[in-house]
Amino acid sequence: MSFSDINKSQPHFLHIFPIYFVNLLFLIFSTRTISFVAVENVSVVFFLAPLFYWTIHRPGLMPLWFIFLSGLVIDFATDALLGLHAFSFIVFYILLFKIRRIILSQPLAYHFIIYAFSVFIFEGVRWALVSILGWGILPIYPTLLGFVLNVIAFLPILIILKSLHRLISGYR
Amino acid sequence: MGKGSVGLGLATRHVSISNTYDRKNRKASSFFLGLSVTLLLSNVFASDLTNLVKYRVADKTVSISEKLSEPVNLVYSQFNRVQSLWDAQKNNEMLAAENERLLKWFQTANRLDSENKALRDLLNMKDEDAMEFHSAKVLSDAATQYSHTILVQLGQNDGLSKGQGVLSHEGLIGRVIETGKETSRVLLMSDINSRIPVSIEGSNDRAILAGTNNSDPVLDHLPESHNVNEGQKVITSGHGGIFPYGVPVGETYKTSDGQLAVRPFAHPNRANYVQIVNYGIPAGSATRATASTSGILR
Repeated sequence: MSFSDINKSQPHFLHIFPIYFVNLLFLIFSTRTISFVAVENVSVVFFLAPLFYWTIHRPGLMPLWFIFLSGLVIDFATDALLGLHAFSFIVFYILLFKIRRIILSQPLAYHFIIYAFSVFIFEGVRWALVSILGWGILPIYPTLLGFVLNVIAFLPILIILKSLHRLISGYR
Repeated sequence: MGKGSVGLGLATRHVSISNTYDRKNRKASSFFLGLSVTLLLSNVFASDLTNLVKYRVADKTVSISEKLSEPVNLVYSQFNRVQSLWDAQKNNEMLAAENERLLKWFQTANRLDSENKALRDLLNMKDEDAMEFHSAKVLSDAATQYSHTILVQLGQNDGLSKGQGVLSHEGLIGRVIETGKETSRVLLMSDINSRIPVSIEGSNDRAILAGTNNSDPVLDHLPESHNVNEGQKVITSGHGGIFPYGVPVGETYKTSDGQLAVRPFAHPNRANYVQIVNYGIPAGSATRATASTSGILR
């Protein structure tokens, strides 16, 4: 193997495309509200799972401008504070990027715990910002519910992301 | 050169690439973090401008967002279809019972309408129900943990203005809080900033229907000696200059902590189309500045 081999093996566009498409789908799903019997008017940020996964495994696939724009899309679509999700996503990303090398070498259960903890911080940041800038303490129950649903949604999403990851495994 | 030195060289190069990437990434992180903080602060210090940007963007991206949402809508509609098939038997029985009840109401309404007309003629009253209806498609349902609003596909170009009432076929949903050229934002009555003056049928007590962002809105400012019980119908009181008297809102019930809440007749999540109603009340009296969850004065 020579030095030039490192740059040769970039994944083909057709391999990358499904990943971006699925990321986009999760982003659109994040702008929708979930309503069923016990849960009403809670938005689950499905985009957090791909953001977590790719930040840890392939940070190059989640450039910061993409994360920032995704946050803005959710802000516009859900009539949230402008910059709320952009800020929360960037904080989420920075925290994970700092510890990604440690997480990478750990088993799946550890990933799940770190994900749950990161989502907790994400929801906490969102709740605190909306409460501070909206001049009022918001109820905590919907935030907790959002957190729980986000964590539950991680496992099925993880299966999709892992199969997508296989498409580009072997590439740098 | 031996294998070991090539391996060492590759590892060194890996570390160097990785360090450069980390350095670039740190700079980009600081830049985007700063940008998002600036945007967040603009909600407070330049709320008018932020609002304007939001509604301009909503106006311009209506068609794009509709196209992009199609695959997601497809998934949701399939999910709803399966759910409705699952509940078909139960729904059938419920609809039959409802139909029977509505037929009785239809007869009562006909009788009351004739009686009302006769009494109006007798008193020589002017017809004050000069209402103007617009049917609007619901573009996005943004009832999240932090903000309960919906975006509808009608705006200033269609004659919509701030403060107009919004109904579904089931009852009151909320009111228009912002209008763009082609889209408008509706504040749902479940939003924490929603306050609607209401009256309780049967007891004639008045209260303020306050959104909680949590579940159903609750009755605030009820008189201490009120006679409100569970199952009473709640209607708009006509105060506050937003809605006329008598628009059906919902039914009272007691929450687990003993507070009186209202189960709305209308479910905005189920509405694909809503009716925007201009009750002919001047827009100035219909608007009320409230600090929204978005930190913007509405």
